[in-house]
Amino acid sequence: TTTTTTTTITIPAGGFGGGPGQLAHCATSYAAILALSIIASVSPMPNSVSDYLTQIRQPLYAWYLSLQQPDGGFRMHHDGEVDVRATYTMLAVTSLLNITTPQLTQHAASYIASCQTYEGGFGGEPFSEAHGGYAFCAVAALQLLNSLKDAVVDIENLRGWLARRQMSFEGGFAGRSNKLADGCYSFWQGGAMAILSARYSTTDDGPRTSSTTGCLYHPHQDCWLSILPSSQSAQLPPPPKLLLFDEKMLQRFILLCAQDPNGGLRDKPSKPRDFYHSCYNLSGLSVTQHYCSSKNENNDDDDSFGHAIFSRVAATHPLFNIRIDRATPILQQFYNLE
Amino acid sequence: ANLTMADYDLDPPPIISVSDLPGLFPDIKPIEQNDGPNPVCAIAYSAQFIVAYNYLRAILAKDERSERALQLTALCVKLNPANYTVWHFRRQCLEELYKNNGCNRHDGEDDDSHKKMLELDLQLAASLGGDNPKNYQIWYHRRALLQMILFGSNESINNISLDRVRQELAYISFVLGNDGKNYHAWSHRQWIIKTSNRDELWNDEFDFGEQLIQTDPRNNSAWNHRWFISHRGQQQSSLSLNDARTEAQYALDGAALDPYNESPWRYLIGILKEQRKSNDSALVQLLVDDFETKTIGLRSVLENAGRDPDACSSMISARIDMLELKGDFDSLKLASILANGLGIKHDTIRKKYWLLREKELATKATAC
Repeated sequence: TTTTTTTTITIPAGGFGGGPGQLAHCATSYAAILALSIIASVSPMPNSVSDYLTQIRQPLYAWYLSLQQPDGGFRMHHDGEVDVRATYTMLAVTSLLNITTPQLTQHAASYIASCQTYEGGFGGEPFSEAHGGYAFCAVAALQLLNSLKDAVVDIENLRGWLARRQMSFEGGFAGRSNKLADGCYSFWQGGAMAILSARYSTTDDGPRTSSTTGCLYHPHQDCWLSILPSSQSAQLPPPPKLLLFDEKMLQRFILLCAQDPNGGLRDKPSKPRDFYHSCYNLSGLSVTQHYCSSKNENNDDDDSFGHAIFSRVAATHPLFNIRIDRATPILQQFYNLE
Repeated sequence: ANLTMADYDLDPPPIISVSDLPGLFPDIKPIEQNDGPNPVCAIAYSAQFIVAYNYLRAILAKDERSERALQLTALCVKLNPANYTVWHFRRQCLEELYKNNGCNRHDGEDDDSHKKMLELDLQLAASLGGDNPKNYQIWYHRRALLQMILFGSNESINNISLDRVRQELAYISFVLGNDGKNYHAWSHRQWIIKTSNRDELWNDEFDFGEQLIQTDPRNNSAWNHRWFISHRGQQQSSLSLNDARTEAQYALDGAALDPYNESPWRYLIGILKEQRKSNDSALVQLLVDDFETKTIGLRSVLENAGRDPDACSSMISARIDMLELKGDFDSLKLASILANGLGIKHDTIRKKYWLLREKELATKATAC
C-alpha cells in the first residue's frame, strides 16, 4: 500500500513531492526513499520494489543535479530555499541508491564547511546560528561524503559544541546555546554525536582518533556499517567504546519527560505529542541504547535507565535513521554486496 | 517605531473565499485528488479545502497563469501555507501577469506597476506570516520577491533602495520582537544585509545587534549576528588584531555581567581561535594571555556573589580553551587538571567529554 502511495507522488522528471501533483521536494524524496527501503527489506525483496527503485534512480539523479548551486549547496526544490538540509537529504538518498557521483558532490563538502560557525556547530546557511537540526544534516552529510575530518571542518570545535548542548539538569539536548531541551534533539544532537564518536576509540594507550573510510562502527552489533562496497572496509581501527555524552541522562529525559502518558512522545512536558517528536525521541533513544559499549567505563554491565526489556528499541542507522537491518538490503542491492 | 501586528494587517490583500470559486471558474471542471487505491495515512481535509484544491488541480493541469489563478493561489496558501507547489505556481502567475501587461519592460512606469504587484504579495506574505512565523515557504516568498524588487534589474542593483531595505529590516525586527530567536527571521535579515552590502546598513546593523544583546545578553542568536556583522558576512575574512581585541573585550564585558552565560564566552573563544589561525603568533599569544588573565579576574564576580568560581563551567571551559591556545607545557597541564575538575565534579553531565579532553591535553603537554 505504501508503494502505491509512493507511485502517486513520483514525478517522471525525478524526485517525489508531498502528495499527488506536488513539485518534487528534497524532504519528501528523502521520506519516500526511506519508506521504500523499509519495504524493500522484506525478505526476499519484492521484484516490484527493486524494479521500481531501479527505474527511478536516473531521473532522481538528474533532478538532484538540477538543484545544484554554484556554491556547492542545493535547493530543496525548484524555486525553493537553499540550506544544508538539502545536502543531507540528497546524500542520504544517493548513498542508499548508489548514485552519488563526483559531479554531484563537487563542492558539497566545502558548502557544508562554510555552514560551521564560531561556536563549532552548523547553521542552515553560512553565518546562520549553530543549530541541532542543521548540525545533524551537516555531520551526517560529511560522513556520507567521507569528509568528516580535520582538513574539512573543525572537528574539536564541533565536538565541544555538541557536548555542551546536553542540559545538565534536564538531561535532554537543546538545539542551540541558551535554549531549552527538546526531545527531538535526542536524535539530531545525539545522533550527530554518535556519528562523531565513531572516530574516538579508547585503548590502554589512551584515546586516538580513527579515520574511517565510508564506514561507521556499530559497537553493539560489533560491525562496520559500510556504505561503500565491502572491499573498502579492509583495515579498520579498533571499535570505540564511548558516546561523548551522558546517554543515561538522555534516556531519563526521553522516558520521564518526553512521553505522553496516553502514548506518543513530545518536545517536553506541556507540549502536545506528535509524529515528528515521537519519531525523533525514539530514534534518539535507539542511539543511546545501541551506540556505546554495553559495558560502562568500569567494564561492568551497564544498567541503562529504563527497563531492560520494555524500554528497548531496535537499532537505528545514525546516517539514515531507519533500522540498520532495513538499510542493509537496499545497500546490498545497489552496491552489489554479498 | 514599535510596530505591532496591526501595522502589517492594515489592508491585507483580500482573499477570495471558497464560495466565490464556481463564479470565478464557471468553465473549469474541478479535479479530485488521486490518492491511489489504498491510501496510507490519508489526510482529513476539510470540505472547503477539498473544493479549493480541486479547482487548483484543474488550473495546474491547464497551467493557466492568470489573474483568477493568482486569486485561487492566495486562497490555497491561506488554507495550507506550507504548500510549496502553490507558492511556486503563484510566483509563476505573477511573472506571467507582469509580462502580459503588454508594456516595455524597461519603461519606468511599468517597473512601478510590477513593483506594486510584488509589494502587494509581500503584504500577503506578512498577513499569513503572523500565524506562521516559522514557515519556510513564506520566508522564501519574501526573499524571492525582494530579490526582484531590490536586486532585480541593473538599475536597482546599482542603486539599492536603502529605504526599502530598512522597511524590510523593520518588518524583521517586528517578528524578532515576538520571538527574538526566530531562526528564519535571522537568516532573512542576514541575507538582505549581505546582499545589499552597504556600509550604512552594516553600521546600523552593528547598533541593532548591540541593542539586542543589551536587552537580552543570553540571546545567542544576537551574539551570532554580531559575528556575522563584524565579519561583514565574509567567510574567508578574519578580523584584524585590533578589531579582535575590541570584540574580545566586548565579549568579556558581557561575560562579566553573568559569567554563567555561555554566549559571550563562546564568542570570545571564537575570536581568539580565529586570531590564532590568521595573525602573527607572538601578538596573538599576548592577546590570549591578556584575556586569560582577565578571565581569572572574573572569579571575583562570582566570589562576591557567594559562588564557587570553579563550578562556573562556562567560564572554566573558556579558560581551558584559552590555555590550550597558549599551548605551553604549564598551560596544557593546568588545562588538563581543570578538565578533570569539570568532568569529575562541576560539569558531570559532560564527564566523558571532559575526561577525553583531559587525556588529550595531558598528551599534548608531554609532547611539548
